[in-house]
Amino acid sequence: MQEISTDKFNKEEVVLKVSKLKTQFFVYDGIVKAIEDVSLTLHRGEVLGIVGETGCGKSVTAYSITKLIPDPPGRIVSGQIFLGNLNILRNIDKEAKILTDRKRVKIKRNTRLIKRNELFFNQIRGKYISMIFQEPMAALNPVYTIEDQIIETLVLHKRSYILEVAQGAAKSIDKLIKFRQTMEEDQDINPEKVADLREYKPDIEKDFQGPLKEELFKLADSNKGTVSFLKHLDLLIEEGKIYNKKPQKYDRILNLDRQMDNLRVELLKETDEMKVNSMEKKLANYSKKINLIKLSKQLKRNKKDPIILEARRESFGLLETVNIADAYGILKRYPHELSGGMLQRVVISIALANEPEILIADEPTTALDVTVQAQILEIMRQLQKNRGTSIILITHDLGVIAEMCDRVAVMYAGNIVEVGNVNEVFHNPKHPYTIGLLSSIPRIDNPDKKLKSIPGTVPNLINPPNGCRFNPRCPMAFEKCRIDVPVHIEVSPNHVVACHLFNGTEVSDY
Amino acid sequence: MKAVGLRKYFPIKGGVLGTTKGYVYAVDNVNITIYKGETLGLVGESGCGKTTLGRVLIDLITPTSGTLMFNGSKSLNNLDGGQFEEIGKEYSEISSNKINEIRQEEKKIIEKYGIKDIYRTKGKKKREFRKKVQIVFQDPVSSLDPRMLIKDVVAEPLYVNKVAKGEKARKMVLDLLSEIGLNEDHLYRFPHEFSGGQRQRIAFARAIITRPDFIVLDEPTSALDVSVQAQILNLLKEMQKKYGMTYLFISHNLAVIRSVSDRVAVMYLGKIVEQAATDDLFEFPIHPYTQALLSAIPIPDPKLKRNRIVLSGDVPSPANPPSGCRFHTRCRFATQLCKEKEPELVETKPGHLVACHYAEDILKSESKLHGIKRSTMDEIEEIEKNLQINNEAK
Repeated sequence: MQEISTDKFNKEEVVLKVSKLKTQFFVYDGIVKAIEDVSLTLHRGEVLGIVGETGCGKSVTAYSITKLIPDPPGRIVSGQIFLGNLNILRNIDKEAKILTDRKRVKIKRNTRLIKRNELFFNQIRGKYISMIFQEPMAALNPVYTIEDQIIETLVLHKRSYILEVAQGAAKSIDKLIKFRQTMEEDQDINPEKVADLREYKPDIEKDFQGPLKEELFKLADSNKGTVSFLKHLDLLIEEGKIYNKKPQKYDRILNLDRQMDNLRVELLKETDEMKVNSMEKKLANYSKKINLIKLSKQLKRNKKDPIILEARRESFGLLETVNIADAYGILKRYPHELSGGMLQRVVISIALANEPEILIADEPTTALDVTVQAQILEIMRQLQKNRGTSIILITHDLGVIAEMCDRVAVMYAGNIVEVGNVNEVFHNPKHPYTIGLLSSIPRIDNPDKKLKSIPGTVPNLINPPNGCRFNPRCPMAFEKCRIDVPVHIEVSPNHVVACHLFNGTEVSDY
Repeated sequence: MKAVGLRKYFPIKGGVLGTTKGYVYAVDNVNITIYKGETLGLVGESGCGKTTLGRVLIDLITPTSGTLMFNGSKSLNNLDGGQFEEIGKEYSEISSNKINEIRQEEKKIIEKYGIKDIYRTKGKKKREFRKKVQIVFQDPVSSLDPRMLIKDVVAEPLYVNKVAKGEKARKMVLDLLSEIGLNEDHLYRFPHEFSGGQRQRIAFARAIITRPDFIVLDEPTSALDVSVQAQILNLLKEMQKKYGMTYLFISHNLAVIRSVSDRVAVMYLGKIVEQAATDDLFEFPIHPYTQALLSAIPIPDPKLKRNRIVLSGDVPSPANPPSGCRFHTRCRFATQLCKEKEPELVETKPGHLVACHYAEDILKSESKLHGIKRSTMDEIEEIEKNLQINNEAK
């Protein structure tokens, strides 16, 4: 049974590796030890679930991986996070020095380094790793339209591709116009015939090349109807015309963007420290040039720009992939005009805009109704299947975990207490906390079950209990639990537990 | 308790003069009967009017129209809701004139049968009613006064209803607190010093200190973690057994509803669409909405693979509900009839009320029902036992 889900993803290819991550918050009352020694491995195409109660550090883990911990008060104190070969926490210890003198804790920050790291990481975040937030209303900016917010990520990370499509449209503009005419005529003559857009694929194959062909294929495959296809073609023709007015200018921009793209790809593979440093500097400088405020002004005034037009067309397509009705109309709306489910779809489409390798979903459905939750999970499942994205799904709903995930990590008070295959963890849980969690949920298919609650509450993380952090609430705690911190032990293949009750070999990769 | 023809329309004010532009149909012509000692579960998506219905039932919100009969009313048994339901049925849109007409017609019927309507009583009798009904709110943080000590919070209903005061009240509070798992130390603390679960216990203690007959539990566990939720649910069950109280349990969590209630009513856009005994409803749901709702719940068992009905779109706005059957915009079986005519809540099976034109047809094709069967499997319990034994051996 447990072999089924391991086959789905490639065990060899690790896209994200977190080891010994430690994040703390320095507040007036003391140091909140929010994460103590978290290690995770995410394989390509895998869905990894993280469960735990409120305040156990699920979200802090996610924010640490995307380096979104608000500083002050929070800081990643130590640890390594590998995206491919690149350790994004490479110079975390140089960023700030933590000085403890008697009771006070002082943090000395190296502002220049932090700023440079931040500028560099802007190139990674949203491109290789992106995030879906819990509260869709709070994740979107209320004063910008939906369109502006999707375009922002596209223009930041996907410029070269966007320009290539525009260039393609400019070169074969006559064919595009002709293609559009034949489509319109077909629809007038026989509305039934054009119901299946895939019939146009041979025509596209014959007339177009490169990214433009890819885009047209994608549109034909998605099969969203002729009206939407015609709208896409209109936008393509318009941007092609503008591109043709100043071809040299846009070609120059395209060249620069291509160079940067190559640099980014190399960076994730490079292992030589010196080279990585110089690349980072280059990328940081490049990221400085794209000014977000300038971009939004450009959106408002200078709408006759092929980059913006193509980005708008892409965002229109993105909204269609997440099943929003009347997608073109929604582009011009503001966040407050949409319902919760719709907003969450917009947030998902922003997160997926650049086809990231890793998607972190932080309680994506907690604020939604069950029927809408089913829709959103369905979309995420489809995207994961089609694109092979690796997903980290954070939630406190064990039902969602059981339905979506391949592997699951159970967290308690800043530590991972159990990791394993979903079937293993749900049907053969080892850690007393996991057992307690599973026996405390009311089961819809087993209403007579006596609910067992875990006594007590989550400990205060400023003064966490000694030894195993679960020991004050654990029904099976003994002497050793109060003294020693348990190590992670492999009880069976791919099933790791941090508990003194079990014997086995110690592992650090899981 | 029996409520007939309940309506609550919230006016939408707008314009310079603050004139009424329209109405939000929060609760629309709902009949509900709750028997003594039972727990009635009320489920539905957000914005379907379940909270409003709960509050109308204890007269916390005055309804636009409707009649409420509480235990003791002689005419409770020999009256069926038919006459009330008929009133105002022909109106598709509501205005203030029409509301007045509905009220007057209602008054005639009430006088004819000599019904004691709670909404139309005043003074002492109303106070009597208030003593017997209570509510526990969803958010334990905002429902407790942050400037009151716990002893005052819990004792306040005693003072207000003139049940007890002074030393007697203190003793009652102390007894109750020890019953629900708090102790004397907690008396002189403020609400912010407690965790979410403890606060919800305090809110519950405040509700039951006057020994009410009927309590509305408005999503009492949705703000809590699962391990704490289990504590509260167990407490609620225990207290019900002890004092024989009647609960109206409002929740959007169907697993919780199944474990606590005896009967369940499903609401959609201000209407009750299905009502049945808990097991009957969960195993043989008939209304297409209930079926979709049940199939949308994720079950925490990775081995279980189910067919899923994924509804398209969102819940329509209650200010402008669809014509005919309100669910027809998202329904799999919708036909022209559903768009035009509003289905009535009729008894399809004994004790199983459904508001759908095609209820009979769906019932006949039983293979297509999307219910959740009862299973008695409990591996977790066994694992726990084994672990305990191993540990002791160690």
